[in-house]
Amino acid sequence: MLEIAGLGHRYADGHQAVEGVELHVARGELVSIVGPSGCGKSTLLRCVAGLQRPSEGRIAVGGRPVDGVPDDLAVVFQDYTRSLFPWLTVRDNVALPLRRRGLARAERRAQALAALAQVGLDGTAGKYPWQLSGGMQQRVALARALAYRPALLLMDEPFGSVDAQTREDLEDLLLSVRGGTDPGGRADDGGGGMTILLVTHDIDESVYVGDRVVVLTGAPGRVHSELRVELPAPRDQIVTRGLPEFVKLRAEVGRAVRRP
Amino acid sequence: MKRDARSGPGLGPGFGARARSRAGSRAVWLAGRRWGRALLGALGVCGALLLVELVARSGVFDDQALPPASSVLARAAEMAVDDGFLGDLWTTVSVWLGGLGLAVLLAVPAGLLLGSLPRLDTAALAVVELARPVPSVALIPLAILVFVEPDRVERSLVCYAALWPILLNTLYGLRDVDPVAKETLRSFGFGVLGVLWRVSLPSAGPFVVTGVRIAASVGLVVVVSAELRAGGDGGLGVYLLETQSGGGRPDLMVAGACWAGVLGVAANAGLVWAERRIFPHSALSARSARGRPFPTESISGSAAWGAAAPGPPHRPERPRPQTPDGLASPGGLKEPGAERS
Repeated sequence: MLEIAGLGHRYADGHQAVEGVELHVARGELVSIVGPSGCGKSTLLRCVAGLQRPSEGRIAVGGRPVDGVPDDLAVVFQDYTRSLFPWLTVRDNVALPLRRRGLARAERRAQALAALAQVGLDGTAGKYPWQLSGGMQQRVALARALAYRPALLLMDEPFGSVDAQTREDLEDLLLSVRGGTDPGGRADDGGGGMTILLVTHDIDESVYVGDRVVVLTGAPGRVHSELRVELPAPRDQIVTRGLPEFVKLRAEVGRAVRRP
Repeated sequence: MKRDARSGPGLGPGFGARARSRAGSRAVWLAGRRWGRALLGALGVCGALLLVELVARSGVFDDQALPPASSVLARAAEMAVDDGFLGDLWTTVSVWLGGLGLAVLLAVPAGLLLGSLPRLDTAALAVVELARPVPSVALIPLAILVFVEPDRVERSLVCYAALWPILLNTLYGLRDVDPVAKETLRSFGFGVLGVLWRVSLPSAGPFVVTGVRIAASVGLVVVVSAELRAGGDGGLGVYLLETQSGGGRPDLMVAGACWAGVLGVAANAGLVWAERRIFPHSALSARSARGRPFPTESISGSAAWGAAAPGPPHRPERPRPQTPDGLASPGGLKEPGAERS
C-alpha cells in the first residue's frame, strides 16, 4: 500500500529533518510511528500526504508515486481547533470532503450523519465545532476522515491535545472503526482494509493501537527499529496494558526511543 | 433571605433555596446591569439634549448659530414624512450603496487574487500604498471633470474611497487564514481554487465585512461631500446647500445632518447583524463591536483604514505569519515549529 524508499528531506534553512527512511506498509495495516520530538515524524507524514515534496527518495501510495496529494487519502491533524472549519456546522464539516467523491448533496449529508453516528456523535450535527468539547471535536475530525473512506489514513499525533481519559476513548474508537468491526454496518465497503499511519510521541499509545511500531530516532530522523505488536485482538485499556507482552514491548520501544 | 437564615445551620432545604435565590439574584443583577446601561445611556442622551436646549434658549449664542434641540428634533421628525426630503435621502442612499457595492465587487476579487499570489501582492502593495492616502474629496474636481453627471461623480468617488479598506482587510483576512485549515482541505484532494473558495474566503469573511463597515462610514462622508460640491438634482448634500442658501435655516441643517448620522448608524448595525448571521463563529467580535457606541473606525475613518478585524474567538493565540503564505509556493505551506515535531 505504502512504499517509502530512501526518503530524506532538508528544509530551506538547511535543517535535515529525515534521512534515508525506508518503510513498507501493507494494506489494512496500522503502523505507529514513534520517536522523540524533533525526529521528523511530522515531516515524514507530510511527505506521504503530498503536502510537502521531499528533497530525496521515493514514496508510492497504492503503487503510484506521490506527486501532489494522492487520491484516497485523509489526514487527521493534532490541532482539531484549526483543522475543523468554524464557519461550518459539524455535519457540513464532515460532508465537505465528500464533494471530491462526486456525491449529491443528500448523499453527502447522509454519509456525514452515518460517520458521526459511528464515532458516537449523534445529535451534534447541527452544532458548530467550537460548541463542542475538545474530545468531541477530535471525534468530528475522525468522522470526517472516516466518511471520506480513504484507502490511507494519516494521523499526526491525533490524540495529543485531549485529556488522558478522552485519549483512551479515542484510541479504542480508532481500533473499533478500523478493519470494519464498526457496528455502523459500513464494514462491506468502508472501513475494511483501511491502512493507517499514526504518528505519536506516546510510547504506550504506539504499542496499544499499532500492528507494528516503527521507532524513529532524531535529528535527522532515521528508522531505528521496527517491532511487530502481537497482542490479542479486542484490545482493552486495562487488560491489554496489563499483559506481560505489552509491558515488554513498551519497554523495548522505550529503550529504542531513548537510545541515541 | 430572612426565611433562609432561620431555616437552620444544616445544608437542608435552606441551602438549596439560598443557592437558588443567589442564582436568581445574579440573573436579576445581570438583567439589571443591561437595563442599567441602557438607562444610563438614555439619560446621557437626554442630558446632552437638555444642555443644548438650555444653552440655546439662554441667549448666550445667536439663535441662528445654535438652534434649540427641541426644534431640531421636531424638524427631523417632520422630515421623516416629507416626500421632498425623503427623495433627497434616497438619492444619497442609492449612490452610496451603489458605490459601496461596486467597491465590494472590485476589491474582494482583487484581494483574493493578490492574496493568493505573493509576488503580485508585493508589487501591487506599492501602488496601493501610494493611492490609498489620496483623500477622495481631493479627487472631487477631477471626478467632476471626468464623469460630469453628479450621480456618476459621487458613485465613483464613493467606490474609490471604499476600495482601499475593503481590499486591505481582505488581504489581512487572507493572511490570517490558518495554514492547517488549508492543508486539511488540500489533503482531501482539493485544488488551489477549491481551497481559496471553501477555506480562505469564508475564513477571511469577517475581515471583509469589517472592511465594508469601515468603507461604509468613509463612503458616507464622501457622498455627502461630493453632493455639496457637485450638486445635482437631489441628495442630502444638495438639501443641506438649499437650507443654507435660503437665508439660512440652522435647525433644518442640523436635522439633515442628524439624518446622515442615522444612515451611518443603520449601515453599521446592518453589517454587524449580517456578519453575525453569516459568520456565527465571529459573533463574539461582532457583539463587542455592537456594544461600542463609537466604533474604532470613526466617521473620518482615516485613522482606522486597513485596521484588521478582531480575530475570531475560536482560535487561540498563535503567531501570525509575517508574510502572506502563498498557495502557490513550491515547498508547500510551512508552519514554523510544526515541521519538526
